[in-house]
Amino acid sequence: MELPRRDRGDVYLQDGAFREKIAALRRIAPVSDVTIGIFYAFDFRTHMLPFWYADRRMAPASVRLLGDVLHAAGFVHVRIVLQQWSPRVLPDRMRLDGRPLDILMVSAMQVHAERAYALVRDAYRMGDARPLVLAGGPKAVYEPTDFFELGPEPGVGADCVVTGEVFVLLDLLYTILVGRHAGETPREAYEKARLAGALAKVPGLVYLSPDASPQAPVAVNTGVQRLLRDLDELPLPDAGYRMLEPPHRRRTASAKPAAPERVGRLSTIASVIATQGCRFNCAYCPIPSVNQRTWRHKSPKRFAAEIAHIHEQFGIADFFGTDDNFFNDRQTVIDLMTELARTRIAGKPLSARIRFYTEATEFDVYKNRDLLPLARAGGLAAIWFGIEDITAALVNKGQSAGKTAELFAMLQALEIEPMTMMIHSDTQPLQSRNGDLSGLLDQARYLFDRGAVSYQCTYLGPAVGTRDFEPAARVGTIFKQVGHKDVPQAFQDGNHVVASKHARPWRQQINLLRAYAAFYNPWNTVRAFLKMRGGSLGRKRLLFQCIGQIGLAMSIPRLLAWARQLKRGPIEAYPGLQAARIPMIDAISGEEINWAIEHVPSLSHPSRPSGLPTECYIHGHLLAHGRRDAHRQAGAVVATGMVSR
Amino acid sequence: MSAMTRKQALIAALRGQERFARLQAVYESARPRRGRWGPGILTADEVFRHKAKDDGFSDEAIAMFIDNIDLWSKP
Ligand code: B12
Ligand code: SF4
Repeated sequence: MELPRRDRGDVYLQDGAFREKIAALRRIAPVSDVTIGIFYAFDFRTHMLPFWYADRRMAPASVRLLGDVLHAAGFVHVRIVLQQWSPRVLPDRMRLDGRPLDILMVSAMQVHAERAYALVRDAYRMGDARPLVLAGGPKAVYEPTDFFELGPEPGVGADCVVTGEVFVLLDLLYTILVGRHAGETPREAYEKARLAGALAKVPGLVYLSPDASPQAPVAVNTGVQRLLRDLDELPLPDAGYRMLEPPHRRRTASAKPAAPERVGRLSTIASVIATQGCRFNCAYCPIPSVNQRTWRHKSPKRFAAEIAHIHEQFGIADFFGTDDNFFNDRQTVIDLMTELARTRIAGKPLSARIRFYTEATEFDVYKNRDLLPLARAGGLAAIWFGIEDITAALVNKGQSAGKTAELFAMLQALEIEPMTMMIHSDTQPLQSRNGDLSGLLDQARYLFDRGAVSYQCTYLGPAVGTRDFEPAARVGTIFKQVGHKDVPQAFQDGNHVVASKHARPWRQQINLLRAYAAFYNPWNTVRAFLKMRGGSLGRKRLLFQCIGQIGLAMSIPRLLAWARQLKRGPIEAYPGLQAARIPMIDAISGEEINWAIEHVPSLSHPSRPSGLPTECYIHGHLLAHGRRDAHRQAGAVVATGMVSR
Repeated sequence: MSAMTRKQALIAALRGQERFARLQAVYESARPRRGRWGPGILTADEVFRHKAKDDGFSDEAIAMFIDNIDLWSKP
């Protein structure tokens, strides 16, 4: 199921609230003494095609943004550890200016969750001196309770999980630190706030109810976050780049972060937030709902200033927009690209010095193809297209073979690289029988022939937070164990077949490899080489053939091993919806709720979260007794038992 | 106590340079992984602890080693 969203009129924070919160934190003098380690978890089992080349060359925007914001709020002892660079650094060994961590922040996608859990467990080795442990990022957004009770002993887990963006963190830190007494650690101040019910007023958190017993833990969810409407309120990306732990193999942190002049060599690509959201509504995609169906973007001036700043300060020339669908809105493209095209640094056009890459649907780019020359002039150098299936049999986003061919020809003429992202599924044949394009391999070849520079293919498996998840779970599609072993979270990467109703899922796994091999192979390398003189795109095609074949060599042994395990079996699927490992209740109503995954109910009575103001309890009681309408009239939306405030 | 004296104390506690070197080798080679010690992925230190125990080192020796090793490993 999709994440719930706030009432239409209450989705956004008040303009200015973000900056005010930063200023308020700055006014709390002792924040500067707090030591913070931000870890980006990375599971190396995911280091293969199609991302092996990019995943270590791009310091993630999430943790950098946390660093930027913490710096703006007055925190000075902050270090960002990227496990893809320094995989062995451990929170309990980390010292910043000689002091152990006061706060450990862990950021993880679902595929990296197991590494994130290990970091949390490690922090608990410090016993009573352990830091306050906060978790965030996509794993936390969709499956917050997975960060609790990590074992081996009871009670080991994150103290608080953030299901929202960076404002939620600011709000949380403010709530904790404003009431902190001299000599109190942030963890002690946090516990005080939790017991007093103060956290319930911060939408976007999940924490363990102080009332529940350790044997039967219950999580409290404070509801859906409010979104930052004006992305220009975010600080300019800078401080986050200056806090990066340099790559090494030690358990301890370095005395100093990587020098700014080294940053551009370590992170050769900069991820930048230009836009957020997508107006499509694909059943297998969690993006529209996590954005509460909003469309946000930076102002053109700010967007260009950010790129210029990163380029000048850190020497980075490649920029990857974290966009979900950059061409979602015509006017935004015009505004952003016009500004990029006219920005100059040191007397030269910025667009001549940088390359901007982004993601967009084929339908929208095709519809706005007249804007491509402008986009090129602004520095647009590549577009990743979620085409999924050219025939639109799997999902219809307005894509077609004809459009693909026409659009790719246009892009080539403009020297914009067309990058393709496809999806293979139980129902797609490997090869088409009647000469059409239904087959996986036919499509891979077609795309290469039409000039695609890169190719990726994932296997359709239901993602958490999507409408596809529960129907798949109900009919026993999602694998729980293979060969009597739990399916690792790292295998939810789209590369591994981990959900299927196919009689021979191992064959589907091999299909994926065959599709890659149909695109990346020596023959296509020769063809790319022979066409190399056709401008920069020719060279890029050759380069990607090399990257793709190296990636294939890295992926084949691992994916064949998985195919073998699938063949050997036994494969045990989840038999329908499950009860939550740790049930979750709404902070106000006390009712059990679902959050991104539907569970069978496991709590028989609504339980009142501890320390809440009586008024809230009364609200909760009213709601629990079915008088939701009264609450709705008061402006709140009830979604799956969740009250937004 | 200086780093050097602590190292000597550790070597003595581990009953000799050879055992110290062995433990150090296990320490250096341990990297985060999923292994036979549990369903989840383990940190480099957790892997080290398990391997060292399998090699016959006591909990105290391992704890002492971990407490001191960073004193003379490269910054
Ligand atoms: C850029 C990107 C990539 C890049 C990553 C490069 C890099 N190192 O940064 C590449 C192309 C390599 C990539 C690959 C993959 N990606 Co990707 N990627 C994205 C994308 C488009 C942008 C991420 C980003 O930078 N966002 C901007 C930042 C600022 O936002 P954020 O990450 O959400 O962080 C905010 C909050 O989450 C929160 N937060 C984050 N961490 C923490 C920590 C704490 C303590 C706190 C308090 C808060 C907090 O605050 C942040 C600031 O507001 C997102 C979609 C999206 N629009 O977010 C998908 C996304 C992250 N990717 C996703 C996936 C699934 C993958 C892949 C597994 C492949 C796939 N099947 O698509 C691979 C994994 C590869 C690997 N080995 O890591 C999913 C993750 C879903 C999940 N439940 O985990 C996402 C969300 C897309 C989706 N389907 O919804 N990806
Ligand atoms: S078009 Fe892309 S981002 Fe938009 S909903 Fe579909 S898959 Fe998600």
